[in-house]
Amino acid sequence: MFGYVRPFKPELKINEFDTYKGIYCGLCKQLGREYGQFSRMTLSYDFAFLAMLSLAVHETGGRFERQVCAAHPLKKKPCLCCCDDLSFVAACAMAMLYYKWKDNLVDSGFWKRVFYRMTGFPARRAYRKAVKNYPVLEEIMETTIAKQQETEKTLNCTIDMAAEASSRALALIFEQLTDDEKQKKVLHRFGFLLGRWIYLIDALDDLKDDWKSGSFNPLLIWAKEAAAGADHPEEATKRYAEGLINVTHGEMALAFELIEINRYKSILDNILYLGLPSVKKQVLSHGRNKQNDGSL
Amino acid sequence: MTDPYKVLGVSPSASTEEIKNAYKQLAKKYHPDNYAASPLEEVANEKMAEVNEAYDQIMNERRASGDRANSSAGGQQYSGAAGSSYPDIRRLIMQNRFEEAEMLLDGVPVAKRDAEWHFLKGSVFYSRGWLDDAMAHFSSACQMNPNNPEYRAAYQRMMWQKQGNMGGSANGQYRMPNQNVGGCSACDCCSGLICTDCCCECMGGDCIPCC
Repeated sequence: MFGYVRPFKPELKINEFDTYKGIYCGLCKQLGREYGQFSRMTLSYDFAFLAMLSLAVHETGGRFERQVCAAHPLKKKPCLCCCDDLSFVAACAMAMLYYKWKDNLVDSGFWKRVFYRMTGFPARRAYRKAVKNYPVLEEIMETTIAKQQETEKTLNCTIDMAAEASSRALALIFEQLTDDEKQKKVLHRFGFLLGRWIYLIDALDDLKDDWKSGSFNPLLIWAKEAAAGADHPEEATKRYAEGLINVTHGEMALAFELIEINRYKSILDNILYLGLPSVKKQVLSHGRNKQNDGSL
Repeated sequence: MTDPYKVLGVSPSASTEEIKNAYKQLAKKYHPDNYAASPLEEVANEKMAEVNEAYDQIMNERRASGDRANSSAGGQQYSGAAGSSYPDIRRLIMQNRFEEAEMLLDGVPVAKRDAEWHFLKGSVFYSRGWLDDAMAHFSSACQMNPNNPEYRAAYQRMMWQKQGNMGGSANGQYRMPNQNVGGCSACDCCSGLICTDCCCECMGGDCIPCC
């Protein structure tokens, strides 16, 4: 995950913003506690969203406290204390990090591959620890990685095929948030579509670079066939991707409305109905949008 | 049973008008049209039934001797197995057995693939979340049989979403429900006053002297 799922700040109330920040800080600390200081740098908004949804689905749990941290050594800030939700989300973050690392390893050229091999050790170690705590993640990740590598090798890979593997990973992760069979179904669909949305946004974000370098990008495959004769093939591809992202978002919203949410509804609404469209707009107009920074 | 007022998200002291509004909002949100052929159809229908029941209960309580008309909206039934050229496949899809349905669909020779085939294939993709392929098949189904309302509805819904619209729910209505209840928000008041002022000025008077 890449930090695309974030709230639209101007429309958040101050107390909502503080809550969101508290969860974000709590997750950062949880990562540090369980997976070492390096892992805190990989924190992204997406997992803050997952943590918030996890808390929202569960009726109880989660306590806020004012604490200091390395980034803000002087001022105490509200921060979510250690809880099961955070622990699970931190493990998911490490599992996805490992997945991304594996994916990069396969996709990049020789020198980058050497670089990834060298930096991979901590990622692998964190992953081992995460799946030890939550064995279900190992199953999810192994099938996802195998599937992804298989599809990228397939000729005539469609956009839907390419998005399948990582969307499914999120579907299975989101499913874990509840024990209720019906809610599992809803969260599965929501997770799948959110994963698909992230995948498409990321593909759109990378489009310009990949167009030049020729790296794997599902939109590029579409562009070669459908937009080859167009006057502005890149523009046409962008429009097409936007349509796809919109459809995915629409379906995601339908699933979202069926999730039984016990708290933080207004913040989650903000992320879903204002945050995501605003990120889409940014990606469409400015291109690269990869901020993974910890400052809010 | 759960508190019907909680289901509708209103307080027990809410006026009948407020309850009707809340009911309308929810009915729009969970309307079967939004979830037709979705794997979440069942969940949505249950929610809808729950909302209907809560509304009925409140209304019945409020007019203890009143009639039961205009309740239970949205109970439209969607059954389509009759008249389909692949009734068994359609049945599998309705039972959420998508993999079997797809196997049967793929077994149909290319020359025999009609509009219904494309619609069903699209439905399988749709349920799996492969929305691009789903849209392509719905589009083919519509082209082959433009008069079928079911195909058209499926395709048009996706086209509508493609423009950035979202199902009958909160799209663009972020934080709206609270503002609706009062009937007249601060914004409405101001625009009303400005309107009044404009009208007055037209007629030579002035309601707000400073502008």
